[in-house]
Amino acid sequence: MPNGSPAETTELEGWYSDISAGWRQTLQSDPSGWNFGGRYVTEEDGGGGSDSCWFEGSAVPLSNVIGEGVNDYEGYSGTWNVDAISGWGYDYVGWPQASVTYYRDQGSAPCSMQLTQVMYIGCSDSPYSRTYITNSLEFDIASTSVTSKRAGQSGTNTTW
Amino acid sequence: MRRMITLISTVLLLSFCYGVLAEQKQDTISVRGARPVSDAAIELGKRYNWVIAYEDPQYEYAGDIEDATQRVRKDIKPGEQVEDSKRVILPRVKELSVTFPQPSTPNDITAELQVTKSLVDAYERKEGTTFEVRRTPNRVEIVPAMFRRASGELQPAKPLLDTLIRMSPDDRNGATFLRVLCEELQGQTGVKVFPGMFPQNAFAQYHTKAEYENISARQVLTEFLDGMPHGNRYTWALLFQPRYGYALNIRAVKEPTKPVEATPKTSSGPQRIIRETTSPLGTTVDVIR
Repeated sequence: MPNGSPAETTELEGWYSDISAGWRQTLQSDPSGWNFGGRYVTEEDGGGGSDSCWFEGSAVPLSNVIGEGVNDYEGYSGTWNVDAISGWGYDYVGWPQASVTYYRDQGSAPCSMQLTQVMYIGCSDSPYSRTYITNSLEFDIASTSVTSKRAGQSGTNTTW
Repeated sequence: MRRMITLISTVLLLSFCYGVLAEQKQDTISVRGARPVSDAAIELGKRYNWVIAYEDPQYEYAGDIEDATQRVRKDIKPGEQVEDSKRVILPRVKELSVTFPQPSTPNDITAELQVTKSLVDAYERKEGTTFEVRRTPNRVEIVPAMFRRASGELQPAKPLLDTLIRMSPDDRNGATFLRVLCEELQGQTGVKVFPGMFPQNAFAQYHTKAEYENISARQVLTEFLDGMPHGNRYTWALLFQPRYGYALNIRAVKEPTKPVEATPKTSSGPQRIIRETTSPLGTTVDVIR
């Protein structure tokens, strides 16, 4: 493992109506040339999340924490294997189309969900899991479009 | 002398029992929300890692619902007239509080069942609406039993998840499986059912070719979740919104500190299940006749 944390690039791969927007990541070392293939990465909630779509009585639960249903949970999910070219994914950021439709039908859109994601990478020596990056995740619902944001990158879907 | 010894023994025993009872700590859960039983079940999951599933009744009675249009809709001005189709009708916000002996260990499955029953009993005493509590190998399920019709009359509920469905053996990821299950339920009942929130990354990574014929949606959902990695920690909240339908939500509950002993699964009845599941751990094929 090189000194310091790996950097990471993120790219939107596509929209999946049953899930949400899928993002693929590539890890990069300094100096370059280090291959992270065979390791795993995990996510945890970094606190401070918000969900302005939710309202008391909503049939869709509040989603302001990674791990309370919408995204992932330590050990249960939010774990990805890093492939031979130091890539991993998809990390889905957002909600399924059915939930988007629900919030629009209730008139609670425009609205958004924001989360802080802390990423860890598995290592062969102690400490065996190390934080390497903290990301801002966001999902915005407008009247005729949705936008998914991850680590400063953004993608909009006008067909949902 | 013998009578004296018996008397002293009795006094000591009574003192011991009193001491045990007096020292047994109590815990209280107090919630305020549109679905207090569901909220309390979630709170029990956070405190004791109990995996409790919940299904809403179909609220109809005026005392059980409220018009929340002005509170919820952002596309109207305060006091603005709203066409009927845009009204947002929600379960009415209520309070529920229950006190119970604190479980001795997080793995106390007897306490899990008893506390859940005391929860629904407390709600019944307050509201009249009743729930049945079912123990299954990996979960305790809160199922609607009696609900108030629009007239106020109590009537037996038909739990949505007791509906018999079929699912073709297509290869699906977990998210698509959940959506198709909802579509099958909607097709059989005529009630709108859609997937709400669920752990998306875990569901996207999991694949299944499970086939079901004439099986209750409850069993399909149970076997689907149990088949996932750490599946025994997933549970559901099937939440109803009047004049809209049901959202099927899935969440994970943290593992207790000490592992719970697994209970053998059973299957019976004139049903056919062919299940092929794929996860990062490999592919499994089960054929149960």
